[in-house]
Amino acid sequence: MQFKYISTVLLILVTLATTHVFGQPRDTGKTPEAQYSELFTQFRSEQLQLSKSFRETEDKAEQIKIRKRMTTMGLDYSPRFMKVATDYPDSKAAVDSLVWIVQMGNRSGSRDTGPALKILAENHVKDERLASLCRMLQRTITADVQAFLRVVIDRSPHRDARGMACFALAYQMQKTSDRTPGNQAKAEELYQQVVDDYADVSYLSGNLGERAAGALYATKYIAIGKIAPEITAEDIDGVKFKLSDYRGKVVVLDFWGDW
Amino acid sequence: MYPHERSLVKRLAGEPFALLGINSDRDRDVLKKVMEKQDITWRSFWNGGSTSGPISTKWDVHSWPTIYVLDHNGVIRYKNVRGERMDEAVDALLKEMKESK
Repeated sequence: MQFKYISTVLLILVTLATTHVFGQPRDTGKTPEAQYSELFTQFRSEQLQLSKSFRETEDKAEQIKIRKRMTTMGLDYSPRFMKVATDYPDSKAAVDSLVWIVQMGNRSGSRDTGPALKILAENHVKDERLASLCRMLQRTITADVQAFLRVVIDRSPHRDARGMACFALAYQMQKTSDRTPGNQAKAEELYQQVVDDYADVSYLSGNLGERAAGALYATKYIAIGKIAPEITAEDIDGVKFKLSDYRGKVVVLDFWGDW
Repeated sequence: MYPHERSLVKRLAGEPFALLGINSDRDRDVLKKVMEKQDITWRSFWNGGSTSGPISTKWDVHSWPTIYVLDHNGVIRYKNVRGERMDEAVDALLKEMKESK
């Protein structure tokens, strides 16, 4: 009985000692920023190496193998970036690592995306880099992303981040309004908020105000069940004509380009 | 897209139907050559030589191609139907139009 007790204590001590040693950041000499950039460089060089091998091989099976590795390699790196973020939660490298995980997860469907967004929302909502992350997440329609955008709208001190989050969330509400009818009203409200509060925040070649105003107009007037607004413009040969010239016919309107 | 649209236009020749483009290419002369080569016979509005031209901006179009199908009264009835679904949408509206007369 006593022996068992002692061995249990010993076992706990040994476990504590080993986790203490191995649980410590391994490269104690390196700053978190250096660890992040080392990891990033390693990822990039593996990526470049793979694309080089891809170009050089003629073997179809080998090409398939390489392409598969390229789409999944992010999944191997995600936990390593996550380790940097959790070992040094207050560092600049933590935000860089979390942003990396989210960006990568966007492409490869990593399971670390949700937790990374949660940590960003909880601990780094004041970081100015979140504006560009919100822009990148605009078309990634998930509950995790929407929760993240809401936190940014409520708590970011940066106008461009709040504006971008507001616009991205409006976009997501509009895109999901077929499935969830209540989202249509939410989208309109959020677009209006962008027009009122964040119109001058720059977005692509213009600003958020133009885009939100356009989206508002479209959600109200260019929707299924509405009469299509008139189009009056030149054709390719410079002859002016109107959409309403075709009233009385079923019309397919195709916004296209040869690219 | 082109082969499907060509066959749609061909199949519905003589029907009360029109395929209209809103083209956002940069150069009209280059485009004319493409249209000739690809046998694109249907008419297109010119979006001012840019994907952020006046028509696509007003219609809030930011991804290409974007498709709208309008009935004979000019009402928007379908959005982004492609391939077979485009054919089905058009056929349904043509049928509806004939039955309403």
